[in-house]
Order: sequence, then structure tokens, then C-alpha cells
Amino acid sequence: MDSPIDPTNYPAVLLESLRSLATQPEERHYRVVFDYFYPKLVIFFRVRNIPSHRIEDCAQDVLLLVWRKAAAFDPTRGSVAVWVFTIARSIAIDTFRRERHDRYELLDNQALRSSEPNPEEQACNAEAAAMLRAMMQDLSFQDFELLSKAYFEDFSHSQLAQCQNRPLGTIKSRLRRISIALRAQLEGIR
Amino acid sequence: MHHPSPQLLLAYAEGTLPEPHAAIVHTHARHCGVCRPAIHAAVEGMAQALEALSPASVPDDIFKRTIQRLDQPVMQPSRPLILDWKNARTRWVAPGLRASRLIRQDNSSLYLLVGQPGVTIPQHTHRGLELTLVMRGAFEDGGTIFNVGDIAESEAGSSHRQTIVGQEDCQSLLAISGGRLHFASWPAKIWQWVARI
Repeated sequence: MDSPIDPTNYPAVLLESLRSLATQPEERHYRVVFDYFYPKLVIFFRVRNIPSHRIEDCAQDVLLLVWRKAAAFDPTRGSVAVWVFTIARSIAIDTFRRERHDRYELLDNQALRSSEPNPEEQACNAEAAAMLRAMMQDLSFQDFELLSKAYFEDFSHSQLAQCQNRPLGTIKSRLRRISIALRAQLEGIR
Repeated sequence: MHHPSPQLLLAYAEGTLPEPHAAIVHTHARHCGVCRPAIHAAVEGMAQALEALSPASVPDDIFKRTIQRLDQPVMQPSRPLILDWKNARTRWVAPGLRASRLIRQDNSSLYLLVGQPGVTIPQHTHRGLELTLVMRGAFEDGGTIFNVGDIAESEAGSSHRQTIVGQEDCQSLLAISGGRLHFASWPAKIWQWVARI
């Protein structure tokens, strides 16, 4: 292995080194794989927008896993490069996730029962729209006007405050009050 | 069958999709004999691209410093999410429609939707890519029927509506990004506000 490596034969050389590493964990086998991949991994993580202070750790993590999992490498499932890429991809995803840890959550279903504002998606078929119209008929004219300006004409809260000549807080609390009233009716329909 | 688009499969293989969207592609591919080899081929292509990168210049002592870390713990690579959607507790959002949020990541979310036959999710647009995977039943979107295992892909900014068809409830996974859906009609907007959806 001390002889210079033929660059056209890298896949075979890498495979050979990795197999040797699996049976004899020695630095000389590791070095071949390390020297080939480390400088490319640095670029890989840079392209992935990993923060520059984390890049060295990430590239090292990939290659430390390569050493540890060398015996688990299965050449029938692809080349050494494919294997290293899949490890690098996982590390990139994890790092990304960790950097923004507070903004990622796998919600447990218990949490979904809380009263926090929940799904942002869907709703409303013809029946629902009809029910909603009926509900809105019970609103006072002022409330109806406010609601339709806010949602039909897409006025912002501060625009509403301006055109109604009322403080922003008043507008917000009126909208909240209408929301609570409508929601209570909604509970009744369920 | 409706498969993910080539761009979507590439982004999945590359590992650059938001978690909710990746979970949908992963769930589809687990049961799809067409997409699994396609993803494998994409990964091979990416590995070749990794090899083709021109190497960065690296510190002289980097090998030595890495070897020194050998006895330290390393973060274990993540595994794809396996969703326990069957046991998810759904909440009422509209007549004939229930939902449960399974994942939230930044402004992307994954929902389980359960709709009764005939229910329509009205015309809406979204700022990001919307993906729907049918887990049970069927729905119709723009004249196309989507059955179990099918993925409906809706680009950012496009406008569409979905109606549940057939005799049984339709369970689907919905991944959206770019925040809330934007409904076209004002009753739908107000409904969205009142029902907190």
C-alpha cells in the first residue's frame, strides 16, 4: 500500500483499503480512504451551507463512522463512494436539524390535544360555508364589517385601526371576542 | 400510479427536502418498486458528484487530529422517520374532515387528514411545495383520481381543490411548506381563522 496509487483505479483501491481496515484496524489502511474523501467532504458540507465552524467536525464525523463501521460495508449495495455519501448526507441532515433544534419537533399525539393553535390546513365545504354564513348573521353590523374587512379585503390589523379610527388594541380584542363567540357556536355544531 | 417527480426524487436522495416532504417520499418509496431503484440511482449519481468535487486544501495535522478522536463518541446518523400515523389522534377541523399534525419543522408541516366521501378542500394556493400521499381511499384533484400510494404534487403558487371520492374515508398525509394555506374564498378564510386550522 505504500506504492503510489494509480488514480484511474481508485474505486478498487478504496474497496481494498476498506476491507483491510475491517479486518486489521490500522492507520495505513485508513489513511488511503481518509486522504481521498476528507478534502472532498469539506467541499460537500460547504456546498450544503453547513456553518463554516461546523464543517471540520462534520467531515471528521463522517470518516470516524467509516472507520467504525468498516466491517458493516456491503459492496453488493454500491461503491465505497456511495456508502460515504449516504453517511455524509445523514450527518448533513442531523447537523442542520441540530442547528435549528428548537424549531423542529416530531409532535406526539398527546401534544395535539392541547389548546394551542393547531393544524393550519384545510377546511370548509359548501355545508360549512353555509353554517358559517348563518353564524355570521348573528353578528352585529359593526362586528360583521370588521370581520369581512379583515378576511374578505385582507386589511391588516393596523389598517383596520386606522380606518375605524380606533386603537390597535381595541381592534385586536374585538376580533378576538368575535372569534371566541363564533368558536363557541362551532363547538355547538360539533 | 402517480410517482414523485424526478426533481422530488433527486432532492430526497440528496437529503435536502424538509422533513415532512422527505417522510412522504420515504413512505411512498418503501412500497414502490419503481421509485426505490430510481432513488438508488440518484444516490449513485450524487456519490459520483461527491467524488468529482475538487478537493479543498486541508490542515496538515487533520489526519492526526481525527485519529485522536477515534475513542470519542460520534453522532449517529439519523434514520428516516417511520410514522405511526395509524395511531395518530385527529381533531375535528370541518364537517367530514379531521386532521392531526405529525411533524412541524420551521414553516413546514406534515398532517394526517381523514375526510369522508364527498368532502372538498376548497380552492387554495400555498407559498411552498405541497405533497399529498394517499394512505387509504381516494381523492380527485383537477380531474385526476389519486388512489392508495399515489403522490399528488402541487407547485408553490399553484391553485387547486381536492374532493374525496369513492365509498370509504380517505386518509392522506399532507406535507406543506411556506406557512398556511391561502384559501380563495372568504368563507373559507374565516373558517380557517375560527376553527384554528
